[in-house]
Order: sequence, then C-alpha cells, then structure tokens
Amino acid sequence: MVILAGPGSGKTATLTVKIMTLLQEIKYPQGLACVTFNNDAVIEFRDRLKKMGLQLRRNIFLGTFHSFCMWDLLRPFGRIYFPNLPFPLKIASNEVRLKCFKKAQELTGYSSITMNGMQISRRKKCDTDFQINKTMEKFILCYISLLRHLKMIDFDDLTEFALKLMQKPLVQKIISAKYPWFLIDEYQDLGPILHQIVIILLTCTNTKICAVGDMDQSIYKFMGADPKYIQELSNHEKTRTIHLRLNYRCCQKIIDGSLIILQPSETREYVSRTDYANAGEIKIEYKPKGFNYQIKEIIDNILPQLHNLSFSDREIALLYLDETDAKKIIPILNAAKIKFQGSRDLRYKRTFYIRWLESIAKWVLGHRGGTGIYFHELVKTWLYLLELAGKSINTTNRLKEIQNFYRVIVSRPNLNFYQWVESIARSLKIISVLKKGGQFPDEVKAFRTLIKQSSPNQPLAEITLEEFAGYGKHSDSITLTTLHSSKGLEFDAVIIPGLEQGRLPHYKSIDDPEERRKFYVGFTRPRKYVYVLYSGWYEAYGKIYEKGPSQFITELLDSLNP
Amino acid sequence: MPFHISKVSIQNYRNFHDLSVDLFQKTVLVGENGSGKSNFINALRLVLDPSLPDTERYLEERDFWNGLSSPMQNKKEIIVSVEFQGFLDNDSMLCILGDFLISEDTARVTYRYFPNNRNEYEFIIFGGLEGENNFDYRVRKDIPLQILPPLRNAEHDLSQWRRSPLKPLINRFKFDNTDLSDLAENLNVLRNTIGNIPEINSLQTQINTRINSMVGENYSVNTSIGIGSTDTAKLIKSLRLYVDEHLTREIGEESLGICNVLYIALLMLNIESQEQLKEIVAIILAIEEPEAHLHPHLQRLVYRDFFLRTSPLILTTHSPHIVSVSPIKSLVNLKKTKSGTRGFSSAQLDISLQQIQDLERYIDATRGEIVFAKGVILVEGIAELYLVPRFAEILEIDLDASGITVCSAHGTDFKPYVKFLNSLGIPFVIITDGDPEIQHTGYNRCLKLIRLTNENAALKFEKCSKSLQIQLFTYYNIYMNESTLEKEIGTLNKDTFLQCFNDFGKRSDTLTKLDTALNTLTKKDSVTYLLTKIEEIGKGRFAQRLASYDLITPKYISKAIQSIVKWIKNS
Repeated sequence: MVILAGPGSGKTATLTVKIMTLLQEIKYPQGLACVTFNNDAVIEFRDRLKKMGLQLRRNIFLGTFHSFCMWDLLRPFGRIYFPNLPFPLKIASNEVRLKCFKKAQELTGYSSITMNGMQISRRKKCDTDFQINKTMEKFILCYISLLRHLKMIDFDDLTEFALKLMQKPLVQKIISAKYPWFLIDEYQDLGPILHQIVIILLTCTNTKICAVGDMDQSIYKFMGADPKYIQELSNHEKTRTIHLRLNYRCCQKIIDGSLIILQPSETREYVSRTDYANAGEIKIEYKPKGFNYQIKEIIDNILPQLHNLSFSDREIALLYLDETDAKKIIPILNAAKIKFQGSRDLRYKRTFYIRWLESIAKWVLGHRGGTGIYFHELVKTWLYLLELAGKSINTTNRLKEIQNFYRVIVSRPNLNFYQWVESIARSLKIISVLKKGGQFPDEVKAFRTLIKQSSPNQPLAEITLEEFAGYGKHSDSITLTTLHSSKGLEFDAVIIPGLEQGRLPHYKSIDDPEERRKFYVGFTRPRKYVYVLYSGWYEAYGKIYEKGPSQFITELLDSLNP
Repeated sequence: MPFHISKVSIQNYRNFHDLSVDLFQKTVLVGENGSGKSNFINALRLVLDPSLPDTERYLEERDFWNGLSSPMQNKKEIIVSVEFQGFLDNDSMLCILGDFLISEDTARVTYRYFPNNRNEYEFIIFGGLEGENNFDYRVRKDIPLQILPPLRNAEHDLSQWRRSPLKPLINRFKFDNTDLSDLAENLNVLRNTIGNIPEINSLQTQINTRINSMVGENYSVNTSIGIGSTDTAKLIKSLRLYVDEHLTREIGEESLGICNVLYIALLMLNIESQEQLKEIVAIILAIEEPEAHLHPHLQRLVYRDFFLRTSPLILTTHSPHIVSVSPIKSLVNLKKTKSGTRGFSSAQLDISLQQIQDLERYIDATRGEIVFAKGVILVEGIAELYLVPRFAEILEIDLDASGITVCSAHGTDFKPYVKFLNSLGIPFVIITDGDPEIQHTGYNRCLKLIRLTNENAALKFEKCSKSLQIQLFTYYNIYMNESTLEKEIGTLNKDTFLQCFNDFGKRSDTLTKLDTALNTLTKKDSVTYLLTKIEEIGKGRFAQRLASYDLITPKYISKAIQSIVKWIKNS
C-alpha cells in the first residue's frame, strides 16, 4: 500500500493508527518494522505510539532505516556473508571520513572529486539511470580501502551491505518472518539503495509494505533521494495507492498559493479541512534594501503585526536557506533581543543521546512525575549503551548499574548547567562508554562539544538546566530553521526572507523542480499566514547579484493579481 | 528434519574438557555412572533453561573440569554452545533464531563464563557467531529447555494441588463464576446435611468444648466438620484425579507405575497444549533416567510414544528397554577418558534407510545390548554366537565380566554394525571367514571394511599375498580365517566333531566317512561333505552341542578375544 499524502494531511497520525491496528492482529514472536528517515521522526513516533499504549517488544522495530540496516541485517547476517568485514562494526565519524577522503585525493590525484559527489555516486550506483565514471569508481575503491584499513565502515557501506544481504533468499525469509508488515514514513526521502531494499521486500517476500510519502516534498537530492522512487513504488503492480487530499493544517489561500509554486504535472485537488479554511493571508513584501534589511523589517513590522493578531512567538517560524543566511540572521535577532530556537537547536547538536540527556534533565526537574518521562526508560537506554560498550548486564550487576545511574542523575540538580552536565558525564563515563560502543562517533563529538560550549565564557555558558530540559524560555521564542529542516513542522505563521532569483531557485539549478519543492515545503508549514520577502538583489561571496525577484514570486504575483 | 539441537560443545565444564557432539532430532544419552550424563543436561540448562535462576549461572571453582589446576586463577573459561537446525520452515522460530545464525541453516547460542577486565568472573549468553547478540530470558522462554522432574514423587505431587500437573491444565479454563457459585450453593446444602447428622454434630460440640476448656475463650476457635470448601476459588483447587470412572479409587491406592504413567501423561498434555496455543515457540524436553519406577514394558510403550513426538527430546538412561526403542541415530555415548569425557554420537551415521531399519530391529530384539557393551565381538552367525563365548571360557576369559557382547550380523554384511559401533566409540573386533571359494571372498569384504576408515591402506593391502593380508587385517581388528569356521575348528578338534555327530545319532558308515573327511580337510570335497552333514543337523544346533565339550581354540579366534579384552583394559 502506498499512501500519497499532501502537506497537513496527517501522515504520521495515519501511520501510528495503522501500526496500532496491525499490532492487534500480529502475534508474538512476529512483529512489524516501521522505519523513518531521521531520529526526530523516530522520537515523535515512539512518543505517539507510547501514548496509544504500545509496548515495545522483540520484533517490533521503530527506528531509522539506517539502524534497521545495522540491527536487522548487518548485525545478524554480516558475519556469515561478509566474514572479512571488521566486526564488531565501527562507524566512521565525519572526521575520519574526511581524513580518508583527503588521503584518497592525495593518493589518486583526483582533487576535483568532492565528498558530496562521491557520496552521490555511491548511493546512486544501483540506480540504472545513473552512470558512474571510471575515475570515480577508482576513487571510491581507494577511499573504501583506506576506511577498511582503519577497521571502519561508513553509512554508505552500511546501506550497500544491507542491500547485498537483502538479496540473499535466507535473509529475505527471516526478515519477512519477523516482519509481516514493513512501514516506511517519508518515502520520498529514500535513496536508491533503500528503495531497492523495499522493492525486494515487495517482490521477493510475503511482507506487506505500507509506504507513506509525498513526492512534492522530496528535497534531499543531495543525499541521493528522488521523487521517482515513490512514483515507481506507487506504480508497481503489487501496490495500491491511496491519496490523502484533505489538508488539516493550511488555509485554502496558502494551499492554492503553494500549488502555484509547485506547478505539479497532475492536479493535486488539495482541500483545506480547517476551521479557518477561508481565513489567512499570503503576504508578499518588496523590501528593496537587501537581505539584512529584510530581517530588520521582520523584527520591526512583521513580528508586531503577528503579535497583534495574537499569535505567540512559539507559533512563528523564520525559515532560511543555509548556514550563510543563519550567520547573517542570528546577530540581528540577538541585537534586537528576539528570542529564538532552532527546530534542531542551533546552539548545540541534538543527537539521539543528547536528547536522552535532555530527557534526564526534564525528569530531574520534573520531580520525577508528570513529565511523561519514566526512569525505567532512561535507565534502559543507559544499560543498552553499557552492553554495547561490552559490559555484560545480568541479574546481579543490573541492579548495581541501575542504582548507580539513579544516584548520579538525581544528585545535585541545583548545579549550573555546565557543572551538571560535566558531573554526569564524568560520573557515568558517558564519553568512554559511547566510544567503546563503537557506533556513535557523532555522539561522542556532540557530548564533547556540549560540555565545552557550556563551560564559562563559551557560547552556551548562560544556558540553564531548565532551558536544556525544554522548560521556560523555550516556549516564548520564535523558531529559526532551514527550509529543509522545516519539513514536518507546523506554525501559525511562517516568514521566508531572501526570495531572490539566483538564491531560490539557485542559479546553478534554475530549472530543477527540486527548487520548487524546497520552497513548497516551507510555504506549506503555516496554518494561516505566510510572509515572503524579496529585494530583487542579493549579495554572495562579496558580490552583488541583481537578477530580480525569485521567479516563484513573480509567478505568485501574476496569479494573485492577474 | 524438524527443529532440533544439532550440536553441543562444552569446554572446561565439570566432566568435560573439550566435548563436541552432533545430535539427532532425539537424543538418548548413555554412558556409565560418572561419565557426565547429568552434567551434559546441566550444561544445556546454563544456556537454555528459563527456570534456572541467573545466580546458578555463576559457577564455582569446582565446576571447572578437574584436569585444570587453579582454573580461576589461570583465567580459564567455561563455554557451552548449542546449535540448532530445522527451523527454516517455521516463521515463529525464524523470528527468534534468525537473529542467531552462524551459517545458512544453523543457529547457535553460547554460554560463556569468563573473567572480565576487573578479573571478576561473569557470564554472558549470546547468539550467533560473536557476543553482540544477547540471548536473554525472554528468548529462553520462547525456546525453553524443560526438564521433566524425576518420577520419584509422582504420587505425592498428584495428590497436592499446588504441585499437581493437573493445576495448569485446569487453570487454562476461565470458569463462569455464576455457574461455580450455583455449584457451591448445592455443595453447601450437602455440607449442612452432613453437619446435621447427630453423631457428627455432637462430635463438633465435644471438640469445641475441649478446646475451650484447654485454652479459655480468648484463644479458642470454633471448629466444624464438613466436606470441602464452598469458596468458588477453592472449589476448583479441590479437584482431584481418580483412577476409575466412579470417582472412588484415589491416586494413592494405585501402583507406582500407573502413577508415573499418569504423571507423565498430564505433563505431556500440558506441554502439548502450550505448544498448540503457541505460548511457546518450541520446547526442548529433557528427561533424566526416566526408567525409574517404570516397568520394562511400560518403558518401551511410554518412550515409543515420546520418540514419535516431533519436538526435540533429550534423555539420559541406563535402561536397555528405552535404548531398544530409540531411533538408531539418536544415541550418544559418553565415555570417561583421562582428558575429560568424550562424546560419541550416531547422529551422522551414514547408512541406508534399510540398514537403519535392520539395525533398529536388531537393537530392539537384543534390548540394546551392544549399546551398553564395553566391547563387541562381531561374528557371522549363530554358530559363532555359541562357540565364541565357549572359547573365551576355555581361555579363562569372562566375557560378561569384561562387558563384552558377541553380536551376530547374520551374514557377512558387517558394514552397518562397523559404522554404528565406530560412531559410538565402542571397541569391537570382527571374526569372519576367508571363504576363498565364493565370489565375494572374505578378503574382498575385509578390504571394503578397511576402506571405510583408510582408503590408502586398503589399496596397498590389495597387492599383498593372501596370507600377509590376513595378518594385516588384524591391525584393523578383523580376524579372518582362510576358509570357514567349521573347517578351522574341525581340523583342530576331529574327535570332538565325531563325538558330536555321534550324539546326534549319525550311523556308523556316515561317521566313518566323516572321519575320513575330517582327516583330509585340505581337500575341497571333504570340506563340502563336512558342511553338508553339519547343515543336516543345523549349524546352530551343532555348534550348541560342540560347545559343551572341551575344545582347542583356533588361533585367530583366541587372538580376536584377547585383543578386545586388552583394548578394553587399556581404554
């Protein structure tokens, strides 16, 4: 089953209900797998399902596609089919990958190859439409052998080996025995390798597929994603497609506007199913004095306007394109004392285990009740980490470890944040445990950075434990995030500055429909108000480009004022 | 083959230094006392038994193989691993065992007891090739090793609700409480009726008065006499099994044998219903010495039934009656050696289905004798069956006391026996005829047997002279004569032969002819004549008679007997 679901149609809700219904029928030891693309989605899924009364058990998999590849394919079958891989598998951190990449450049002399180019080539290899050239092939071989020399694999290896394993009949048999249902969220974000895995499940096993996605929101081309994969799945003879056309988020004006931007080849027939379907507004603002001035305008005029409409700050989002934009925006906001937060917090990286630390903070401050966070879940994650780090947990030492964990996290919550995080990390030896686990190079880095950044005179020195836990200040700040990361979020009002031709669409990919989709995603986040700002020119790398407003703005204006 | 344990390896645990045995769908463990049969089961429990508390998985110095000196100081490890096969066509089992594969058709679970980096001993139980994949309590519950408790207390257990195997069977049902309270009401009426019988009533009063006078009102209790409780929950608990259809004959009145059969039947019913309700994915049943208190015929009946079940079964036994009904490939022989107990298994026995059937029938008919033997003398037929023990007696060797069994192949096809005895590690010698006159001479047959273990030797022997071949065969425990048994014995015991023929009432002219024949046994015709005359009586009958006389033993036979005795002594 393929569910093609437009913005605001309740994809996640549909999927969670489907999971709960399926689990009424599927009996232990069989279960189901529900894979999503990133950890945020995993956390949201788990929370929702937990509230609906789901009890996790063996053979119920809720996680990212990558962790599925690791835990359900490579871990049980890797040693049998690829005895030469360096077990236990360690995943290379970004630094290690970069080191190998640079060394490969040095060794091969192919200095024009970029990291991104290499990744795309590796990911797209199995796509029949994709041609890989000899130079690249050689380069990749060199890179991989360098990585193996360090006894590591990277995420692309992970999916590649997972696909190879999935081609083995025995593996297919076991996976389909464990998972009579396989559900995938955000299918449009899948790259060719993961798509192949789904196609194998669909064609070679009895596992039933339920994929949810929206090809219009496919904006991860740089990671190998392509809307054609969900199209292919939807057109497959073994699937049936359901369209969700009702939009429970946006007012009709925004829906209509978004479709002008998107210019889909087939009509979408999306209808607003909200109390405020006929309310709301698209505001297109011409601010000729450039990007920084647009931000000032937002602070001086747009935010007050929105406050007048009695929207609270946490229901307002400011969406931007990339890190360069963020560097311009943040100082201006800070100067105006506008509080903001990143959906992925801009001040520190919210990895899976950093979020776990946030939950610990929340539990500690919430006096252990009413927070929806339970000690047994916190400690479970910890024991699991310990096991990964090679410590065997059994009845006798289990209790000891639990007591120790409890003692550490309840002690001295009145410390300032830096002291708190430092003392917890030190007492539990979190970093060394993560290191021994071998699979979390980025987690190690994230913890190190968090501790360093929160030490005196560092950027996070002022953060409080309450803030870290998500209490207090957070609720009255606006959201600042990229168009990419805004996917899946919703607000009352969204402001998108910098809509200049050459920026969006990017001057290198003017005719790429993905540029439309990127804007479309941002445009469909608000319930009622969307503000777009343009100057007709922009500055990049010290140069001024005067290419007029984004063509999307022109198109919008044309259709709104014919 | 359906789901089963296909291999067990044990290192440094109790009797076992380094054991590795292949197992069949069913496993029947034999071996003398102290060879480690119970410890084999204990080792399996470390890995698979969900009812074994983890504290029992922390072993002590004395749990290490006693050939190791200060094992814990020397950081020795105890490792028990169990391999499974036959689960590929069952989705539920795939769901569980699919995570623990070591090859495309085998899953493995390993218990490891080892010193950690703080030098404290701890254990892990993991599946698959390496230790990343925990095999936890939940999985142990899915594929449990269930130990059938010893039958000694069957009667006692059956009469107590708490321990009765009837309890889980009844608890499976959800009774309608209103039905039960109606019943209880009826029972209450009856109870009151009994309580109102004047004699009972007055006894009740007497008891209460006596208590009162003894301890005073404050400590006194009011008693009543009645039949059973009317509490609905207790009503169920008061259910008992009776051994006749009139609810009169109680368990205690029945013989121990019947009690045991009842007990086993209830336990099996419980296991089977758990399997049917899919409460467990697969159950592995282990039974220690199930023969206790069971009549031989009941043993055969009960265990024939057990062997027909599809689920894996492991039992230890000393009972020939159980071995005699065991599938031929299910036998595992544990033998004590200086370097720890070794295991010999017939699971991989490479013989045809017909040969399996024949061998099973032989073992059934002889009540599994060769399986328990310390050594076996394989012979061709009934004549040797009478004569070999007699020759041993003459050599002053007590075959029974040495644990040696003479086994007749009823022909010259020793191959299945040789393979079977080899697989179980049971020493054996073969006594056979050279039969130079027939197409498949003894020489060819022996070379074929040797080829089973040593292809090269067989090829080399082929080129040697016949007399040298006979000598060489003895290195492979084959003792062959040059012609036939009767000729060999006849040559050495002419007068005794004539005496035997006389005993059977042969006429004097026949005896004269036989005398001539016996004196000229180098001639073909003489041998033929002798054999015809023996066959008129019957080879077995003749040998039986012969055995009652003093005999001179042919050298090849005495060598064979002495060799097997020496072998057993040395091992």
